[in-house]
Amino acid sequence: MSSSERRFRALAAGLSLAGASAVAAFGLTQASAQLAAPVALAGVGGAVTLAAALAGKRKRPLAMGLVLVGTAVVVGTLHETASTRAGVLAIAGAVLFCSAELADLSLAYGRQVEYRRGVRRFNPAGILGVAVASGAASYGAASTRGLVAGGGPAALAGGTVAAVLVVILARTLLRGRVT
Amino acid sequence: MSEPAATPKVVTYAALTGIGLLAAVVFGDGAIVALAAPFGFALVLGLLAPVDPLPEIHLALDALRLVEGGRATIALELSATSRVSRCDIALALPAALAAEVPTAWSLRLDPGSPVVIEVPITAASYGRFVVGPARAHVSGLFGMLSRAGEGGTLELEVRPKAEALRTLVRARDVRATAGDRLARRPGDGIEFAEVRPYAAGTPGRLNWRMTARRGEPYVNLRHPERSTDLILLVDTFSASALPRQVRAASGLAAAYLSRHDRVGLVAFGGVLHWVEPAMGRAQLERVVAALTTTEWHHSYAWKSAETIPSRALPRTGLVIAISPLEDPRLLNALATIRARGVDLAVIEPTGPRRAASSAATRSVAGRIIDLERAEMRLGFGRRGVPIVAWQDGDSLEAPLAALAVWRRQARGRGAR
Repeated sequence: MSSSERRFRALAAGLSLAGASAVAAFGLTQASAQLAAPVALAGVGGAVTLAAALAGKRKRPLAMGLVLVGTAVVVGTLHETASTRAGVLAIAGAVLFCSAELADLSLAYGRQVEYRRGVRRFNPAGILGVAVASGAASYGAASTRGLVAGGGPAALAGGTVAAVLVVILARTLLRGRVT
Repeated sequence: MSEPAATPKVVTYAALTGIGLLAAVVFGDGAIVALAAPFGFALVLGLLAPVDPLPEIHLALDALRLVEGGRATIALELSATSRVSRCDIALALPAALAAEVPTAWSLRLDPGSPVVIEVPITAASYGRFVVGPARAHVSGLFGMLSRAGEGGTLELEVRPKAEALRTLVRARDVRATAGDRLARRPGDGIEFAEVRPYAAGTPGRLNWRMTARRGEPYVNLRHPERSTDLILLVDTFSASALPRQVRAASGLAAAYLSRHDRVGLVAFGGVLHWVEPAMGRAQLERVVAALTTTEWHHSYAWKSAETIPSRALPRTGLVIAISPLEDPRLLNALATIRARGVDLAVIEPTGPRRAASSAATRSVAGRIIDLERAEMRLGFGRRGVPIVAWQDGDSLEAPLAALAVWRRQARGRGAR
């Protein structure tokens, strides 16, 4: 593996770990005093598992690390209002998805490969597109739920815009066939 | 064209999505779905998006036969009928063929414009190798689906690098056919031997001057040029010394065949194979081809000289055994061959020359092994079988010269 490959791999792994750790830390800061200990345990455990998977080049523990970090943020935001919590979890989900993709990308670089001209190593637009689309869908769903619960025209408008955004992004991704 | 197959990532993302949905249902908290939603989105998009087709792969080599250390170029041609945005190609190469460039590529292919990748390789060791296959892998969106295929294999024969030899060991007996060796018995030939008084049946021409001077007939005797048989006995019981043995045998075969001798080969080890003695360029091809495929095979089965066919080991001619003399089966076979009266000489490949360690620093076991081996060498020497060491890194000329000296001295002592 060349030095540029090694740098690329380290950068992807570092970004992945930083994203997951940020989500875990956010969950811990939002946690109430009674739940701080289990949230900290889940968050730190998740980050450590993720780091171990990246260092050991093993894909299986990645999912376990993501589940633990997700648990930390879910438990940590229990006392928030429903709408705030939906938004926070949507953002956390998007960040964790980006972390998972970066970790997968990092683990894919294990040997000496020559990249010919015209080949895209990875597609950040695709990853971010799905993350944003997912967040928008979540927001749309939450707004629609608010409408059903008597949330008014604002909820309807928000939900519609979010749904349209999701459709456009999904269509763009499918047409572009990005890898 | 292979159908797209789901990758392990599908299972992982499905599991993450499922865990999120299950948690939402179990805890009655719909917000948890938002956490797992991106993984579900990616999964659905990845499964719906089409996967590019695999390219056609064609492999070619500019040489199908090399000598150790030789270089060749593998040409890998990839062509696609439709656009492939990213294709990962990996070429499988045996460890003995060292590539000077990476053997894995990630590239984009457009229809109608094939891509040719050239891979220069160097043959580090002899043998018969399979180059390829080239494995192609095309992933779909987010790596959820992929197509994998392989294509193109080639065979490459790398022959052992033989040393050009000038010093050769003379066989005790010669054959009746013409060759480059001077027979010891006088006869019809070119090389002058001696002048003798004529006796009935003495070959040669009358020496008129000597006859006139002495008053009785004298004849000029000449050495006839005859060919000999050489049998190369390669010990394949030992894996570590085998490459050196094969190279030495290859060099000896080439040198003797160039002098119009008959050369045969016996590879004696876990698997026995042989080439019957013959002469000419075709025989050199046969011997070198057999040496190229000579391998070490582990075996506990007892092997003796009786397993070697008599036509592969004629009683006349010279047998040069190349062996580290470690396996008792080979030692027994050598003793049996010598007991049949066969002219036998042994070249023993040894490690690199080292400074002699003092008796105090050597273990008792090491000294006992040395004594046993010295005793074994002396035993063979008493039977008229010279054993000469061939140090790693030295030319084969050195042990051949030592063999020639030993045999000359033995002839002086009257040994047969």
